Amino acid sequence: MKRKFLPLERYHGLALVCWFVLMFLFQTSSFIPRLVAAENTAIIFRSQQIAAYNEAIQGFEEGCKGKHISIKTVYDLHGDTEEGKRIIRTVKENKSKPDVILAVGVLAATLAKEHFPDIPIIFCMVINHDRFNLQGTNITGISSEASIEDQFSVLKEILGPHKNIGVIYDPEKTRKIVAQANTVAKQFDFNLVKSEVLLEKEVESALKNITHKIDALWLIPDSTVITKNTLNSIPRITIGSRLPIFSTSDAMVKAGALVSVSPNYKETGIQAAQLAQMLLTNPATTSLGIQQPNRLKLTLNIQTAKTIGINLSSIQSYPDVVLYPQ
Amino acid sequence: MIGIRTKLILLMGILVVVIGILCCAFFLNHTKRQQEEALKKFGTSLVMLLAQDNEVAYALRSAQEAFLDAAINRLRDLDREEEIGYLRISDNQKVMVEEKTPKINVNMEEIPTRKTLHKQDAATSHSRWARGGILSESPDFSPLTELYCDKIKTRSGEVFCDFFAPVFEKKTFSEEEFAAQILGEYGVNAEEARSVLGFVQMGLSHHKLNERTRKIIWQSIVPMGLGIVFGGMCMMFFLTTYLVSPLRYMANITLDIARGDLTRTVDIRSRDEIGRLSVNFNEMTRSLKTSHDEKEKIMAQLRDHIKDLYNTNKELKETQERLVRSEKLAAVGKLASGVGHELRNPLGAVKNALFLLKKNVSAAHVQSESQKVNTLMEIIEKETDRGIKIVNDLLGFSRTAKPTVSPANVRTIIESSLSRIKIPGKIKKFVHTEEPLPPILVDVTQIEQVFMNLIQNACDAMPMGGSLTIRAQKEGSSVLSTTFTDTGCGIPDNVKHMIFDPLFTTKSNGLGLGLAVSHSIIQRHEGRIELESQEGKGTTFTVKLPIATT
Repeated sequence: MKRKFLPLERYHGLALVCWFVLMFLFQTSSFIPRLVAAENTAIIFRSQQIAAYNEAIQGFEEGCKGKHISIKTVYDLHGDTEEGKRIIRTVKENKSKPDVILAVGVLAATLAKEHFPDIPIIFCMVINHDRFNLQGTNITGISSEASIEDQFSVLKEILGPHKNIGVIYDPEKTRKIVAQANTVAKQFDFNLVKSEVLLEKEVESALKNITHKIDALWLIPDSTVITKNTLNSIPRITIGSRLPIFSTSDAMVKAGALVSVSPNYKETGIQAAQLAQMLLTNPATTSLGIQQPNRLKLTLNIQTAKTIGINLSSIQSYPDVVLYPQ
Repeated sequence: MIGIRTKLILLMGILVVVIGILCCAFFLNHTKRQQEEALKKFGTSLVMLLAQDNEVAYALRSAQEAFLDAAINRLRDLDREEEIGYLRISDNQKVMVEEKTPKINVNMEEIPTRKTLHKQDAATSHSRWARGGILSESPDFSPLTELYCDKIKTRSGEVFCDFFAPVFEKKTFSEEEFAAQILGEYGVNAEEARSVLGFVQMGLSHHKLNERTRKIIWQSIVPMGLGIVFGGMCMMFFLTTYLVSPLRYMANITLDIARGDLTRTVDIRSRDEIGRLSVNFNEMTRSLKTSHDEKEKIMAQLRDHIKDLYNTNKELKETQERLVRSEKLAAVGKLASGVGHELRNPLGAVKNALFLLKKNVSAAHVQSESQKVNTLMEIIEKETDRGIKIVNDLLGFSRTAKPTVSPANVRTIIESSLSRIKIPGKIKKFVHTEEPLPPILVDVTQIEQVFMNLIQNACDAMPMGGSLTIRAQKEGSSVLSTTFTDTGCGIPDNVKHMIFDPLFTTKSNGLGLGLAVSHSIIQRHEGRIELESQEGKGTTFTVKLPIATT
């Protein structure tokens, strides 16, 4: 039997309809991820319950609003490794996986990296993140310290160029930072006077040894140098020698340091939300590397400035300046 | 005298021993401290493991002693050398477990508990570990919340490292504590807020530590000390030998040089101070030798000059003596010639007159008194002869005629001379002549006169008798020697040098011209006359005359 094919002209209208249907389906498919994004979930691991972490989480929550990211749960690891592991195991066992994880603090970041290799992780508020190998294809982070350039530019604004800046550090913990700072210091016409310590008890003598050689002390976040004991003794010695302390922690300013340049914790949370949105809207990108904080705050100790005779009026007009005592 | 080597050996020996002792003491002290540190670290690890053990925390939380067994057994398994002396786990109210090792004698009541520790004097210093096991010294800590270590000694003499650690309800990750500290004030005191469930206390006995220390002493420290002392001694001997040998060598050479051997040199070729010293020493020796040679040369020249001077002086003296003698002889000769000439004629006339008188008187006139006259006349004749003889001698002496020489045999001259002298019978004469004797060129008359003089003198020297020996012999090829030896009284030493002077005599009736004339004659014959005499034993005159050449 001879089969006849229908002439195309006769089905012209049908073809047009099919064409429109196909185009509709194609257009619809391109909007699917955005529609799905609205359904994105995030969970937050908080290392422990401290105000700075809470501020960052608060910022993240605010940042997620209007970005179709819903925060499912905030888990507190209580600063305990074992408990943290237990909590994370529980989360892993849950069938509904989050689309993105925010890890606040070093404990949360290290545990999340270990247990969630296939979910994008954003960490923040990790002191000296370089030490903990927080790098990976699914790891994005925000540094908890201002860049050395930012710190030195403020220092130059206060002290002027051609100054000897002292730094006490434990080479096992912060050698990399000091090596980097040594290079940056030359750009700012600073001479970095380095003093290595291995134990907490060596800090005071090391400080006394370099006191007469330096114009300011740069206090980096080193757990050998900054301890509960030295938090009080270092400012006592430097103020006695009329030396300003420059740090990355407003806690140090409250203890007697002159100035600190640190991230605005809430803004760090907002920045983390922006990074989360970027990761979720582009699933092919799983890591954005380590970002510098978008917004910094300057904490000044007016009382210390008065004691050692330094005029801070030039930088008091900066935005995001916090004066202490308030 | 203590030598340098001995001094060096003593000094360095003491030094080496002191260094050895100090090294041993230092190493021992260091080892002890290391062992104690190791023990403390080990104890800290154990007590921290126990304090951080979840089962211990659970047991304390639930006050169930039975739950502690597994944790304690795990701890015991780690203690392979059985150093744990006692163990105490307590909650905040009571002691739950208290164990001690049976091998170690310890009364648990002596071990301070948490309460007693808490009451201890705040000024007492304890070793305390901060988090992370770092040792620190602090007098004002609270023993309730931190790990600390103390050394205690029981009444039985046992020494323990006592470790005390709290068991916390919850442990916070250290980096999170640091983050809390850096990021804000809320986390700073988090550690203090932790609740304490109880405490673990553990004592590590020092007996193993002491055993290890003893082992190290015998296996390392003692051999090391002996090694240092032995090595030091070897080095000391080497050093002293190295230093002292060249000095000793140089001292020996110095001695040789002091003895006059200036050819010795020091052969040390090192480039140090000793080498420089040897070079300088050799330089000094060379200079000394040069000076010495120059001095010797000058001395030799001086000796030659002195010798020349002596000979010249001797010759001058001899010449002077000869001159004096010649002058004296000339004066004597002149006097003798004058006196002889003046006396000879009167004496001749006297003698002639006496001859005539004697002839006439003896004929007839004085017969009666002839005996007496004859006696007087003989006296006059005898004395006249004697006067004539003296005058002849004087004239003979004054004549300085050149000898008329002819070859003659000396034996003939001797025999002729002997025949002309009347030798007393009590004197024995001996003549010995060598045969054949060569002839001599002499004036026979003059030589006879010399020989007669010598024979007469010999006879005069032996008034009591004796022997006269005349000996003639050849001396060499050109001299004939004739000796006249008597056994008489000899010539005193103080007059020997004057014996050939004219008018000098030792005889009472001598004129002192015989030997002077003889000496003069022999000199004119180019010969020599020599005297050897010993007082009381005798005298030998030697006449040396040249042999006639054909």
